[in-house]
Amino acid sequence: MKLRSLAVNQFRKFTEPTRLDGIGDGLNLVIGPNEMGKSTLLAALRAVLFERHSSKARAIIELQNDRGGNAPVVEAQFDLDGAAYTVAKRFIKQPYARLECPDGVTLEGDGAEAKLRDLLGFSASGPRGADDESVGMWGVLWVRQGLSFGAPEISNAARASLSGVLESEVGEVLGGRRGRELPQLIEQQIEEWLTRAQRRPRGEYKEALEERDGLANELEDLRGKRSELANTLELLEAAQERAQQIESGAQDEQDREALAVARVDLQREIELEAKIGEERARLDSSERARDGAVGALSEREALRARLADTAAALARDQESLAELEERDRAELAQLEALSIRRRAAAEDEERAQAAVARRRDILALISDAREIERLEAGQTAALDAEQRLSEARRQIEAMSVNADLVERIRREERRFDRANAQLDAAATRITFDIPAERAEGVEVNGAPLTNSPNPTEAVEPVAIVIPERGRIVVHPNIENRSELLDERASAETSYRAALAEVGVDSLAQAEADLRRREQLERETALTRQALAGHAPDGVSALTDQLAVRRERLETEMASLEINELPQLEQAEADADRAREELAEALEAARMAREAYDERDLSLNDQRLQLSDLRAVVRQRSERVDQLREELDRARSELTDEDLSAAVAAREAAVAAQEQALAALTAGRSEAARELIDSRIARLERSIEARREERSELQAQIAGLQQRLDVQEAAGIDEQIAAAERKQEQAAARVDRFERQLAVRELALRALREAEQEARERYLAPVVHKVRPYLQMLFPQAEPTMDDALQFSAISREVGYEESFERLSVGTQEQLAVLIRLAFADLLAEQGRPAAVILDDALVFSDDQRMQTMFDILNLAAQRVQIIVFTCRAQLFEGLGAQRLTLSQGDPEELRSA
Amino acid sequence: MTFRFIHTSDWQIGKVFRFVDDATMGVLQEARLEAITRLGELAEEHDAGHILVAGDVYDAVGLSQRSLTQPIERMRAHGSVRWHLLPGNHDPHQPNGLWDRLHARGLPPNVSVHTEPTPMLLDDGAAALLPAPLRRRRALVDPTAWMDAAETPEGALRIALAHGSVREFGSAPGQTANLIDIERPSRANLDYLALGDWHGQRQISARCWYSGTPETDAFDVQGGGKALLVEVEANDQPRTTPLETGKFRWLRIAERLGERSDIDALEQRLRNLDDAANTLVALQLEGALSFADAQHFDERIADGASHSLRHLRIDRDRLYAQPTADDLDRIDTGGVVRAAVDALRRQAEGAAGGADPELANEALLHLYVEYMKLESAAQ
Repeated sequence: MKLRSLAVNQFRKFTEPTRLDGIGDGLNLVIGPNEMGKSTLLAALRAVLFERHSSKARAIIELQNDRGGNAPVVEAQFDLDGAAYTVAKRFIKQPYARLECPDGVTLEGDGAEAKLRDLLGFSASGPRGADDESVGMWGVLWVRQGLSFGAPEISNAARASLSGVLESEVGEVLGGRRGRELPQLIEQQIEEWLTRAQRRPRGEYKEALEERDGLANELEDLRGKRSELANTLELLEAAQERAQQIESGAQDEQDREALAVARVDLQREIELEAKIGEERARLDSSERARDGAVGALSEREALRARLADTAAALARDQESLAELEERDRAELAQLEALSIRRRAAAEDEERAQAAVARRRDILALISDAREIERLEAGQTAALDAEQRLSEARRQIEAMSVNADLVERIRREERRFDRANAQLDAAATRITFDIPAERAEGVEVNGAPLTNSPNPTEAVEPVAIVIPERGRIVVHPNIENRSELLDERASAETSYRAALAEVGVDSLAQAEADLRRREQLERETALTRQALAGHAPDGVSALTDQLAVRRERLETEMASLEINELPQLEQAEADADRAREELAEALEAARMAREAYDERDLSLNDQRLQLSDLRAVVRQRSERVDQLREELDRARSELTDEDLSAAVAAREAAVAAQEQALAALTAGRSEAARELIDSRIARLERSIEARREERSELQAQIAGLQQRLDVQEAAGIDEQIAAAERKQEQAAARVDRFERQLAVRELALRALREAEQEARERYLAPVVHKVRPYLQMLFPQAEPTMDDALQFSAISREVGYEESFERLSVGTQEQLAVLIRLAFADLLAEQGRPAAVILDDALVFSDDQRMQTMFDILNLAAQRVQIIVFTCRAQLFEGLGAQRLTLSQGDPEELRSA
Repeated sequence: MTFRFIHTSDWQIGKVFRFVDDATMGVLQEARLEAITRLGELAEEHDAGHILVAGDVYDAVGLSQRSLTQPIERMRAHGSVRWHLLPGNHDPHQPNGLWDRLHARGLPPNVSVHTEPTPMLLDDGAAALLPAPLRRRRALVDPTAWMDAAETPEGALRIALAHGSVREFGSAPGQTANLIDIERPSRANLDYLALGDWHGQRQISARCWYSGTPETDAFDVQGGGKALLVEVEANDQPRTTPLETGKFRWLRIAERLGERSDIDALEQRLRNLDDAANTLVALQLEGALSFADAQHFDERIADGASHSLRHLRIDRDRLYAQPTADDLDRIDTGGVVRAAVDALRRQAEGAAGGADPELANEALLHLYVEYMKLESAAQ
């Protein structure tokens, strides 16, 4: 199939009839910006070929353009086996389908669509419109925008179509439906007994295994019980035998005889021990007597030695005492001298203290005298201020002006001015234009003209007398003259009264008076402040205070016996000198005190030592007397010679006693008594033990018999036989399952291997086709394809396979294009040339790959029609394809509804 | 005067049948108890005062109380008959063992257990019973040896009761346990030696018999399901009459199968067996069947005729299912399945490097069967 032209109207964004004509055999390129509608053209091609014209699927409704309402129309022309067909469809409204065949026949409606399906090999679309499954091979060859990268999704229908092509080459290799179902079935059968992933037993097989193993445990348990039973039987038999043996009593008799012999031996042994005890007591007593004598002798020696030691110590102490008393006397003389020196220093210090106090008092009097001087100055200033204050107060009292009165004058003056102004405004203006030389004699209201204002504002009648001529009276005609005149008169009266109250002639004078008064008042306040500063409690209080201070100063000076105070500087220098002298006296006194104290302390210590030593000498002397007395007394009782003789006699007695004891114990074992005791105990125990064993055995036999009853009642052999039977059956079942599993797995493996082998044969043509293209892209690369007719991997280096998913997006996309070209190639070889359409493909390729891909496309285009849609004019410039452009279509031909 | 008794042995109470299903096992075990009742009835019928059980009353020593007591109660029910029980190699007399248990619980007055090799006078001294109880499973001395020197009253018949093998069918000489001298009857001047251990009835000499088990318990037992009525008179050969006591028949059938008609004939034969419901069959097959016929066999025999029998055990180790060209053509003439079939067939024929040929053949058959199921489901 080769596409020749495509025309659309009212199809999605195409609201005007639009055509794509002149599509050539080989490589075609349609360039347009993103919004041009390239993808829409591909959608239109799919619609006109694969969608049913009568379909109401949502996908079809969506073919309408956005403005809605109009029926989409599509027409396509294509060649098949060298003959031209035209197919046209309108959707949704008044839909139709029309196929014009090369033999001149035109098919309509469903007939046209059936014929189309037959020609192009696709299935009728379902209720949701055409999908990859119904479109078949075409879905693979015509790549929609955004789907070009990634492995092509090859639908079953597409695969069937490809398989159809491939099978004609390699023969019928796949087993058809059974070939797919049988392995699945067997796999399911295996999975009934083994889990898919882990191959762990499940279902009945697992149950059989569990049963078998469970029974093995049960059996072990039962066999354990059987051996317990056997054990019980053995124990019982042994106990019964032993019981019989004990019943005879032979051993008891033998043991009793041995016991009697042992008891006689024991009696003999006890007697011997008593005798030895007596001898040992005698020896002890001799030893104690000898020890007493030896003790007395050594005590005498000790007393002698103690007396000698004590006498020697007394002599030493008496010597020390003499030395110490001599030193004490010398120290006492030194302390006397130090005491005299300490008293002299104390007197010096007292004098210096008094001198400092006097200097400090004189300084205080100087300060008092200065304060008195300051107060006297204040008193003078205060008297002056008092005088100024009374003068100012007198002046202020004489003034009647104040702020309110001035304000009143100001108000009355304004009223008077206003009344004058009103009169002026209403007055008749009389202007005299008479030269002065001629004005003589001329009178206005009886006054010479020259004295009159010019012009004259006349309110009242004005009489102008011109000598020799007569009199002119001017009567101003003022409407409210009398009121105006009254007002002025009243205002003037008030004004004058206000001035009179203050006693001035004008406002300015009043204001000046007011300023003068305010000045006086301010000065008064200042003076009062100054007064308060000098004499806060009043001048007389100040005067009293001064008198008191003067009197005190005089008293103080008298007490210090001075008539005149020295200068401050002199007094301060005197004070400093007195303080220095005092510091020196203090230091001298402290040193004298310390020297005295130190000597006094050491003398005290020495006195203590002296008294201690005197006590010691006294005690020692007493002790020597005592010891001497003691020794004399002891000697008078027993002389030293007698004492030594007594010791020798006692020693001899001890030696004799020791010999007697040795004779008794010679040849006797220390353990003899214990040995006999232990033999007796043993014999008694074994007789007792047998008695106990007898009763124990009876109990044991009874217990064992009881246990046996229980164990035997369980019927252990029967249980074991039953369990063994079950286990054998379970094991047989497991064996059957395992055999069946082995059988099924072998069958499945055979099927899978056959499938694999078939697939390899079946894929060989695709691999054969795709390999040259691939090697143009990657020299020496080998493709690996899977049963879905897709690349599963490529090996670009020998022995190193890269799975498809791990390749870069660009490479994946390129490979996806290659495989489509290979498919189309295969179809072309089978005499079913099919167009490949790439919409916005290869966008992820770099420049160099792009060039190679262009070469490949050109190569493929020698056998296959290829239409490339792209928005990248520059990128595809080097493609070397025939460039197609959209043109306006004929609205009459593509009439919408 | 004739001393008449029934000789029986090898009741094997408590026996477990490993190869049958639970229901059948219950039935077989029950049948062994019913045989006791039948023996009691036969004794009454034939006016026999004693029943001598020559060992292996029980199948094992460690039996449940019920298994132990059930036969005793059957015997108690036939109080006019005196039952003589002998410990055999399956139920030897050991201290504190099974027989002591029975004694301790008390036996019915008409039941005697002979645990000591001591003669017992019967019927007022008309006969002396000389028992040879076994004290362990395997004794390497002849348990009947003591009988040579055993004294019995003048005029009393000497009837001996023993359990073991006689030389005649021993394995290696000197190794057979519980071996009984075949000359014992003459050596010990016995009037009759009643033997047990052999489950088929068998005469050893004029005065010596194996009675066989009263209810057959295995396929290899010949002449089981019987007892012996014995009549002894002084200075005369004993007269013996076999009595039928068994309920179940155990048959071995061997067949060679080659084609479909063989299968059909076998089916007919199995269905036409007498008393099929009480018959157990061990079917031993050989030959070769096509896949189609192997399927046919399963349908007609394994899942068909087998249900008419009490039990059918099929041994098909030597029956081979071999695909014919027709079988294979039924699968496919081409395609993946056929390729797999061909590969498996090559392995079944022993191709080098392939799977175990038998396994391969089974896999082949499995493919065939599953394929056929798919086909028939599709039609």
